[in-house]
Amino acid sequence: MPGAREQIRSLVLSGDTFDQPADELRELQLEAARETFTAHRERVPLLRTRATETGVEEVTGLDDLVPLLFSHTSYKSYPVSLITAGRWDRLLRWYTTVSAVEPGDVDMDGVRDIDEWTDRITAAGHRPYITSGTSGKVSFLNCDASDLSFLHDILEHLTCWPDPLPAKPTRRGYLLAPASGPMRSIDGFRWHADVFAQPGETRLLTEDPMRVSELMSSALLRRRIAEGAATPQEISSFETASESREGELGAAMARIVDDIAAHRDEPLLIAGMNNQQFTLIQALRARGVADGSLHPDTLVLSGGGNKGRALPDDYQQQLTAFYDGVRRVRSYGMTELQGSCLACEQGNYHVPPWVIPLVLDEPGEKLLNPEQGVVEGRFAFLDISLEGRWGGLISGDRVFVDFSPCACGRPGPAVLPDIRRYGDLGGDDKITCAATLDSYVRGMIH
Amino acid sequence: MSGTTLGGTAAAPVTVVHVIRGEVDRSTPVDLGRFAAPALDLDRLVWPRTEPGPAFHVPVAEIVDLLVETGEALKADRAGLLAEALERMAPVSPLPAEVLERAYAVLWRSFQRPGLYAQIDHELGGADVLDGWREVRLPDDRVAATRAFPPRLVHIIAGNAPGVAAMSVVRGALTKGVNLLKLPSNDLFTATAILRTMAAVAPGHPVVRSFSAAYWRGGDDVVESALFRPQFFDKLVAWGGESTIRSALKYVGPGFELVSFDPKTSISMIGREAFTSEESLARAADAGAADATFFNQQACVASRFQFVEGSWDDADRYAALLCERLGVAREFSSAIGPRVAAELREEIDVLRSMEPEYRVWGGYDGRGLVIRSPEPVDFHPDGKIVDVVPVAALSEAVTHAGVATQTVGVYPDTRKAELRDALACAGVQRVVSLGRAGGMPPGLSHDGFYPLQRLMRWVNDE
Repeated sequence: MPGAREQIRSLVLSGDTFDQPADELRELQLEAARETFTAHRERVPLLRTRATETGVEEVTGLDDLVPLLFSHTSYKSYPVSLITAGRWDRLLRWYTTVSAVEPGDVDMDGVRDIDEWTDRITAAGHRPYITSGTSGKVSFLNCDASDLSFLHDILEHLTCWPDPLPAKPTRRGYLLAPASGPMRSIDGFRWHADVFAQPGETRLLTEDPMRVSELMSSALLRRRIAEGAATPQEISSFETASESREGELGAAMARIVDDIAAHRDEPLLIAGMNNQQFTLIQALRARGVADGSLHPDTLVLSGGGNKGRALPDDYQQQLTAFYDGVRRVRSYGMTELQGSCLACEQGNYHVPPWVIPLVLDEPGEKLLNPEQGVVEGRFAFLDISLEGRWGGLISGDRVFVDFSPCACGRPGPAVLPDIRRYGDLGGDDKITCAATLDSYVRGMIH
Repeated sequence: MSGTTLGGTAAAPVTVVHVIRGEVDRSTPVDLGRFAAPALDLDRLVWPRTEPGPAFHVPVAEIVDLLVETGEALKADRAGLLAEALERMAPVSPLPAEVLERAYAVLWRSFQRPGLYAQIDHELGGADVLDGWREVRLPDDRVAATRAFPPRLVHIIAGNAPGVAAMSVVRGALTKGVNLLKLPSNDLFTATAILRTMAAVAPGHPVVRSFSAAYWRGGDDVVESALFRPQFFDKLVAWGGESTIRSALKYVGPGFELVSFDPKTSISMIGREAFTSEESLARAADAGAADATFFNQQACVASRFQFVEGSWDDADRYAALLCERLGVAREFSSAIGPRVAAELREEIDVLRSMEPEYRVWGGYDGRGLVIRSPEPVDFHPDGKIVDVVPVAALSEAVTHAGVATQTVGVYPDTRKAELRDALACAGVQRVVSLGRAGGMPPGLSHDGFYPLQRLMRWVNDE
C-alpha cells in the first residue's frame, strides 16, 4: 500500500486529477501532511527549529501547519556578504538549513562564484531554483530529482487543462529565455519544447545560459553602494552594461519577430515571461501581425509577475487580445509550488490535489479555511509532493478561495480570479525617523 | 471639541482634531476609513504673504514665557487634553500605552527656559538677531546688519515618538514664523494636544495663531501640490520616512527648500575595557540595552548593531547580558515590546539553525532578542532586536558606519576621542557615551546641522 503522498502524486497521471471528491481528498491530504512533516523534520533543520520553537510535535489538523509555514524570506535569508566574500562553504551550510540537502552531499572545493556554487549543488542531484525579487536578492528553492520528474509529469499531462494538449511534437518553437539556468521557468519552457515542439526546431532568445551572478549583480552592487564601497565608475558601468544587454536582446528579439511573422500560419510554441511576451506582441503588431491571427494549435506560455511595474496596467488584456484563439495556459501559481492552480472553464483556479490551500488572516497567523463557501485571506499552502524542501509557505497574495463545489461541476477548492498582492493594496502612511540603509541607495532596483 | 466616545479598540473610528490658526476646527468630520477628520479648507492652511505672520514682531522673551507656561500646563494637564490624546493614541500608535504615557508625562521638558535659551544662544548666537538687526563688522570698515527673519514653514512630522511634535512646536514658535504641521497616521494627536494646551494658556496669542495642524494622506497630490509652493511657504521641514522625503522632492524648487531630518539608523561600539570586571560588563550591557530600546527601538537614535571588541566568547558574554537587560522597562521602553514580526522571525529562525557561527538569545515575545553573528546581518533589526558583532578592534567597526548612521554610542567614554573623527568622516552625526543615545540635548546640532539656524531666513541690511 503506497503512502498518502504517493497516492496523491499518482493523481497527475490519472486523467481525473482535479475531480477527487473533496472529503476523501481532505482525509488523504491530512495523512500526507503528516508524512511530509515527519520526513522533512528529519531533513530540514529550519523546520526542526520551527517545530521546536512553536511546540508543534505532530500534525493533528491543518491548524498545526500554520506555525510551521515558511515565507519567501526563508529562502533568501543568507547574508549577501557570504557571496561577496566567497564563503561558499558557509553559504552551503545556509542552504542545507532550508533544504533537504546534506552538507556532505556537495563538493565545494575550488568554487569560484555563485554560478559554480549553484552548479555543484545541481551536480549532487539537486536543483536550486532561483526566483528574483525587486531587491535583487534571489531566493534559492531546492528541488531534488523526483521533484523535477514530477514537474515534468505535470506539464506532459496537464498543459492546457481542462482540455489537456496531446503530447505531440508538432510546433515550431520560440523560447524568449536564456538557453539554460537554474530557474523553473527556463526548465519548464525547455521541457514544453521537448514535448510539444518539433525536435531541433526551437529558437532561443539567446544561446547564453542565465547566470545567477548576473541576476544578483544589482543586489551585490546595491550592497556595495549601501556600504559606500562602490565607485561612481562602477555604478555607471553597471548602468551602461544593462543598456547594452538590452540592446543585444533587442536584436535577438527582432530576429524572432521576423521568423514568427514568416511562419504565422503554422502551429507555434511561444514561451516567455510576461515582460518578453509583451515586448514581442508589440513588435509583432508593428510588423502587421493582427491580433488573433496565429494558428489555433499554437501554444503560448507566459508567466511571471510585473516586477518593478515595468508593464502597463492592461498588459494581461493586451496579451489576451493578441493571442486570441490560440492555446494558452491559464494558471495561478509561483515557483514555490509544484505545477499551478489551473483555470477551469469558469476561470477559477483549481488547487491541485498535492497542494493543501491554507487561507490565513492578513498577519498570517490564523487559519480561515471554511468547510464550504468563499473566504478572503492570505494565500498559504503545504505542497506535500516536494522532496527537496519543506513545501509549507505563506505568500504575499490576497486571495478569495471557494471551498464549495465550483460552477464548472468539479469539487473545490478553487482560487477565484481576483488576486492581489497585499503590498499593492496601499501602505499605512506611518512616518518614522528610523530607517534602513536602503533609503540611501537610489534606483538600481530591477 | 466633538464629543466622540471611543471604544478603545483598533476598529473604533477615531476622530482627529484639526487646529487651524490656533483654533480647533469644529466642522463635521469626514470619514477617512480608519479615522475621521474635518474636511480641509486649503485657503485657511496658508498665511498670505501680503502681511506679516501673527508673531513676526513678538519679542523672544514673550515667546519663551509662553512656551514655559505651556510646559507647565502640559505637566499639569488640567483640561485633560493630553489624557484625551493618550486615549486616542493607544489604538493607532505602535508604542505600548505605558511608553506613551511616560513620554507624555515628560513632554513638558522640551518647554523649559534653559533649554529654550540654549537653542537661541547656541544656534543663533543670541535673541538679539531674532528681535532685531544685529550689526556685523565687515572687512574694509564696512558695517552691515543681519536679522534672522521669521520663516513660513510646513512641517511633515514623524510619529514614532511624541517628542517630535513637541520639538516641532518649540522650534516653530522660536522662529516667530507661521507653521503648518502635517500629522502622521501613527501620531494623530500629540501635536494638536500641545497646540490646544498653548491656546488655553494664552487664547488668541499671536504665537498660538501662528500654528495649524491637520491630517491629509502623505503624498496626496491634491493637497500638497496646492500648498507646497514658495508663494505660501519658504521651507518644508520633513522628518524621516523615505517616501516622505522622496515625495517632498517633487515640490522643492526655487524659493521652496527642503530641511530634512533624514531617516537614520544607529549603532554602538563596546571596547575591550567592558571585560575588565563583572561590574563593567554589566554596566556596558545595561547602557547598550538602554540605547537599543529607546521607544522600543522605533526611534532613529535606537541602536541596532553593537560591535564588541573581543573574541566570539567575549561577544557571547556581552550578548547574553544584553538580552537580559533588553527585557527591563525603562522611561521610554516597556519590558515587553512588540512581538517580533513574522518576516524577521523567518530570518532569525534560519540563523538559529546555523550555530555556532550564529547564536541567538531570547525569543519572539518582545522581551528582547540578541543575535551574535560573524558580520552584520542583512536585515534591519527592529522591535528590541540587537545584532552583536565581534571585532578585533573598534576601528574595524567604523567601516560599518555610513551616511545612514546617525548616532554611535561608545563604551567606555575614553574611547570616543580616538573614534570620533573617523566616524564623522564616515557620515556619523552623533558620538555619545553608551547609554546616552536617547534624547538630544537642546542647543546642539541635529542630523549634522543647527535646525533653528536653518529654519530662519537670514536677511541683510548692507
